[in-house]
Amino acid sequence: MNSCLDIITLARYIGRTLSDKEKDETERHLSECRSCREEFAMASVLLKDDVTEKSPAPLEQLESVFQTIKKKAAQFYEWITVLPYEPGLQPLFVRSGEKAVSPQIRFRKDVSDLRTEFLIEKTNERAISIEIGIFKNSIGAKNIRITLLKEGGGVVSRLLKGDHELFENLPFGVYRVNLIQNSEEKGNVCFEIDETGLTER
Amino acid sequence: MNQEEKNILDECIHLNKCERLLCQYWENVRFTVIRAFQVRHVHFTQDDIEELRNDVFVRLFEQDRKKLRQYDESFGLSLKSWIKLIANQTVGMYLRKKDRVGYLGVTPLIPIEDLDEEFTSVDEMPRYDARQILMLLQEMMKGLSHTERLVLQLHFEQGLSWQDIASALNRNINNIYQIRHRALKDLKEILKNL
Repeated sequence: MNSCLDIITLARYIGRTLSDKEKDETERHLSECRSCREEFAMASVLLKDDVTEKSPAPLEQLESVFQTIKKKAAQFYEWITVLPYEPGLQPLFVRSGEKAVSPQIRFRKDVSDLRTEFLIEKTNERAISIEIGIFKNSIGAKNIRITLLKEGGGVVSRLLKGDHELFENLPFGVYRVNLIQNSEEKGNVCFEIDETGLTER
Repeated sequence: MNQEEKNILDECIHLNKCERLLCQYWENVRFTVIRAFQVRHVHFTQDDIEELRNDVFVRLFEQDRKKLRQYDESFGLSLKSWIKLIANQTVGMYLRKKDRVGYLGVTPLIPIEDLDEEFTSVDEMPRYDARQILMLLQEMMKGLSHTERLVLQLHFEQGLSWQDIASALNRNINNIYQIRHRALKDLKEILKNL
């Protein structure tokens, strides 16, 4: 084992759930890598600290810090304009009369046991389209209801036909995509979208 | 993990509602960050604590709450312990970046040849000799088994007590004493012949 220990291996070593072989390899690595050894030694001391259970902090006191943390943790995706691809043309360029594809953002999210794929296109200066694909174990998920809620009003709800659903002519704003499968709520994907890009919420 | 913890985690991972998780572990993370500085014997300020406490939660929530999704009860640790591990790692990364007082020993030892030129005064000779012996010891430790080496390193380098080492390595304290005895005997033998 040459590369440093990942946090899962470290957790499993401390939690005593590694196999004998894995345990031996981990100890060998710890004896050779000072940085991992330091992390392990400190972790073993900290986990031993048996402090009295701290009671939960009141949310009212943490509301503003929570927003700051969420903002820092949120992912931001910029609009990317994809040029038409023509094999053999080097360098790639757009010829007169040839239109580039609209600026778009693609991302994936896991919602419970479902994999969602989003393709968002800026169709004009003020409008977007959102195409959502939903998969379970790499194949199109069945019996899915997608509800698209826009903050400040606006709801569209559809039953997924095939493995993608397209929502067109939508304004910029804050959206929540809610997924229900067989009457069971699977979860939400929330984001804010504007002319600069998309920020997770 | 009790039902309450499970609900808090599920709510954060699947519904992206993480307020309850933040409130639940807020004080624990703060306490762990303080202890992480203390056990490393590194000076810290109130600003360090607040910055690091927030950073721990940013790491838990970023990338679609990846660090929380990674948690699995089958690791053998509670969710609280998993969060403590992340907090410890966050403090370690922060200090490594700042290399506070070089506590990590990132600055490499000065090669013997250079020391020879630097320490020419008679007063420095004992220190020079000590360093030479230390380097020799490090070299000799390579001849020990990795378990013997790890036990000595955890005590002499990381400052853990023998009892803490026994508990960290999930071994009986008598077994740790045996390993220590064997390792030190071998090292002494080599030292005697210097």
